Amino acid sequence: MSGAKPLRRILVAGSGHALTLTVVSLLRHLQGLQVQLLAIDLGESEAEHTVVSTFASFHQLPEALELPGAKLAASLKAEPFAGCLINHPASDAPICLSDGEFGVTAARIPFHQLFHRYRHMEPTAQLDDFTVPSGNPGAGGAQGYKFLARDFQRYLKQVARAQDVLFIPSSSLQVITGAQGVESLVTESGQSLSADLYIDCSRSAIIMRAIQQSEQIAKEFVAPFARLDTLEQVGPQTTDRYSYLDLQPEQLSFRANYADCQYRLQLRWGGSVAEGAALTAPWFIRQAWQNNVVAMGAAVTNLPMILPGDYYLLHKQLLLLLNLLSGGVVDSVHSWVLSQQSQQMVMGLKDVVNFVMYYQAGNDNSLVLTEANRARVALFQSSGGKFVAENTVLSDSQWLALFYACGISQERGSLVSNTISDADLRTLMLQLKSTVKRA
Amino acid sequence: MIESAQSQEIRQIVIVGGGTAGWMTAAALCKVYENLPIKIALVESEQIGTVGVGEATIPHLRYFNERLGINEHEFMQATHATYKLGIEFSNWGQIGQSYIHPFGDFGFKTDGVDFYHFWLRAKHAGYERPLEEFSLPVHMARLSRFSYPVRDARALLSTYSYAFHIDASRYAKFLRSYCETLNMSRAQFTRFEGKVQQVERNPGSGDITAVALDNCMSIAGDIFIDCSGFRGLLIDQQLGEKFEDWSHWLPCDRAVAVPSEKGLATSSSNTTPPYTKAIAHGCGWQWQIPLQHRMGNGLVYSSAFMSQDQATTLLAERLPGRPLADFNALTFRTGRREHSWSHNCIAIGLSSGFLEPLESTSIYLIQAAIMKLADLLPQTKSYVAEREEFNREMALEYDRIKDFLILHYNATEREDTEFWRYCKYMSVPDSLAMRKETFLSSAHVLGYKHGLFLDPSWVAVMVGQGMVPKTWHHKANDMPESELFSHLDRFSEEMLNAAAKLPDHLGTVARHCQSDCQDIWPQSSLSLYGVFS
Repeated sequence: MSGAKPLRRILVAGSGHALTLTVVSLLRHLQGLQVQLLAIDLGESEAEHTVVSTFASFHQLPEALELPGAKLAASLKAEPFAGCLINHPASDAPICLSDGEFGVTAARIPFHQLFHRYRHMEPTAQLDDFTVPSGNPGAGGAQGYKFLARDFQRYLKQVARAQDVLFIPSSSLQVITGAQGVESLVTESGQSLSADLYIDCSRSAIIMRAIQQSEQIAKEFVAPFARLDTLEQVGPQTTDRYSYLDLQPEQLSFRANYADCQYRLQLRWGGSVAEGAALTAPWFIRQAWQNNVVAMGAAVTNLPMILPGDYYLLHKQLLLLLNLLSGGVVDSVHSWVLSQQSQQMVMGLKDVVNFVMYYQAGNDNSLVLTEANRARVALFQSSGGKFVAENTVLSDSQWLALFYACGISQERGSLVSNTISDADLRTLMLQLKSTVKRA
Repeated sequence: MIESAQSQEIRQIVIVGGGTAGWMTAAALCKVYENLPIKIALVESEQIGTVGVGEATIPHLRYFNERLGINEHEFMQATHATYKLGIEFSNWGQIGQSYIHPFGDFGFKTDGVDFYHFWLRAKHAGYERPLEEFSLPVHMARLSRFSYPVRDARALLSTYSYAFHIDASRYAKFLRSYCETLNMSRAQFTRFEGKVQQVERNPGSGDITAVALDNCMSIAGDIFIDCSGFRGLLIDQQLGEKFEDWSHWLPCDRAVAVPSEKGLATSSSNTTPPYTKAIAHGCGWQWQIPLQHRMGNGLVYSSAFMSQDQATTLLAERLPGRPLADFNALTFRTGRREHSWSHNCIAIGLSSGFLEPLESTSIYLIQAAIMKLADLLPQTKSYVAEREEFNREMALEYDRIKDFLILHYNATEREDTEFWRYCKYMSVPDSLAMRKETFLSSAHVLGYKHGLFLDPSWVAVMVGQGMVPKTWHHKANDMPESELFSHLDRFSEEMLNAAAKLPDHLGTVARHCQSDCQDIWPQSSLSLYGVFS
């Protein structure tokens, strides 16, 4: 070990669900270790009606926290979330982005290769007709949920308080730094608090910025955007299993149906479309763990979370942090690992945001694709090839959905896709369509 | 000039070289493209010997064979195969110490926590059983037992996978016969005898257009696959693709190999155990691969620390039985091509790179390249994006295996020779350094999604070679110490008893090689740790 130090006290500062989730995670995970946990609630505004939606694949954390999915879902009055529909100007019909798989691999040929050929035979064929849903909602298996962020936060706070965690309210924070990083935090009431490890869950990276500058994400990759405070309850709607991602020129609009109501959040970008809201330049923190400070979730980047991977970064980071701290010590290698892997996660998120914005921007050629996206798109367009990446936020099926939604199609198939005859292909696809319909 | 769509189609694939790589490629392409109007040619010369590496395999080969529709029992019969449940590493961490890296995980997870955390806690409290005693395939290997894994995920007997020890030259012949049989109904495949004398290239694109043989034949193609071994006849000699040298981290660069008789069984050792032996010596290591009819032996060493004569003498002293052929000296350079696919030429096997067979990855790397190529090869001759992706993925395969191999040398307490002192104190790639430090400081294995060796393998080698973290997951503290000890004892005994009830390895091999054998082998998977996972 290189300079391992025992952990005696951890101080978590932040707001909303990021703060409470981090606190509860640490509580559950470090029980049995003599680590004291302090929480400072910065009270940064979290929209009252923000709807959280999670894919099943993003749902490992409640399991790690021993929060039983069904019980948690009941407490939150959670509704099943099967995926979101992407309404994109480039696609003629909404494409469903979900945990489900598109079709099946048959005759050892990936489904999208079969679909590509089939579409030449049946130009009206729709991808969604072949979506095999994931899990089986209600059966207790892995599934996604949607619920109000506010309720999740309250639930977690109750869990934390039941274990005597005190949330100290403080809308401002003075960060006292020294040679080793942060020495203490002073709350607005003048209380000075110190710890072995400071975890920053704030939206402004208030602690981390005291020891490290954030870096701008070049605007050619992600255009500066404005998060317009137009979160609104649109009105009673028929509840269905989906929430929506609408893509209009220079605008992303999220609509989520929850509890018989529909909520909407908009993001805008482009110099002339500010509408009074300040444009925000996307930034990120390069070293998510520096000295004795760890930045989590929104404290690492303000990239817009435009897909149901809202909490992707926070969840992934938490799972890693819990593993690293499970022995109750901090070590220099931990900061190396968490920083390096967080950077990879941010790059993965950047790929998704970049991809959607790039294809949304249409003729606005001030945006360029990231290197990974260039390779990903070129490979898919060329022959439907699958780009292998460690840090991708989306599954292969989800990338495929985005490709189709953004009007990107493959020019030709792989050689192996020719190995099934037209007649066999037609029979196979009809069988599959009918199976999916029955399901 | 605009070429017609038809002229852009891939019609002819030429494979240069007929060793294991060449015949695996030929068999796979003949099978995958059997319904397509694509001609596949293989050029080889009987005058050129093959290296015949990779007698020890990993479970992925079963997947390859299954895709070809090969009958596993016929394959065993043809290649004189035995079963393999892992690799025993002796004298790596310390002289006199040994452990098995099995094809299976250790124990079962409890509350989402890997078993080894419970073992770590017990070990630090004085518990003495080694981690490997919580692996069913290790018990089976030590007792020389073998049976197919079962499907029920709750059963102990589902917790392992298996591979083979094979005669690689017989495997190449078996696949040749496979291609010829497949070809009887369709004239898709042709084998050409001859040495490549000249390579013709398109002066504009630099693509290879044909290979001319010493018998005046010329074989044209759209795609050329270089399976010519270390020589890299096309990828190196023609296209000059750069080679990334890793000898700094993997200093062994020579081997001597010889088959021998298996010797006599003793009360403590079986002549045909279901595992490979990798025994470290002062300047490298020695392999022992038990086949049905003989033992495959080899001694890998670093020429900076040992001469060929010394290596040959040492190997001769350590043979289990009488040598059955002359000692074969091999020279190699560890590393990989920067690009395995260049122009219209794809290097597969030793022409693409070399990693010593410490973890039996040679045949796997051939298989991985073939599978990626079959996935990516497009319908027409323009493949820039596909080529980049193939090169990126193959580089990742090699790089991750490289780190795992370096771990074996670097995670050592040996300082008895200059070679081991070098290995112990050499700098290692950052990716490996981070993995080692993280494991030591938090007992956490840094995982990845795409790579051959996953967490159980890293744990097996790290713990096996003495890297024991001083910490563990806190949930392992939930059980009182005495209860934990007795629980572990019961669990290990249960595994031992389950293994002891299984049939004898050699008897099972003999039964499976009988033509009327009714046993049905389980499905295959692309996992080292279980057939049904």
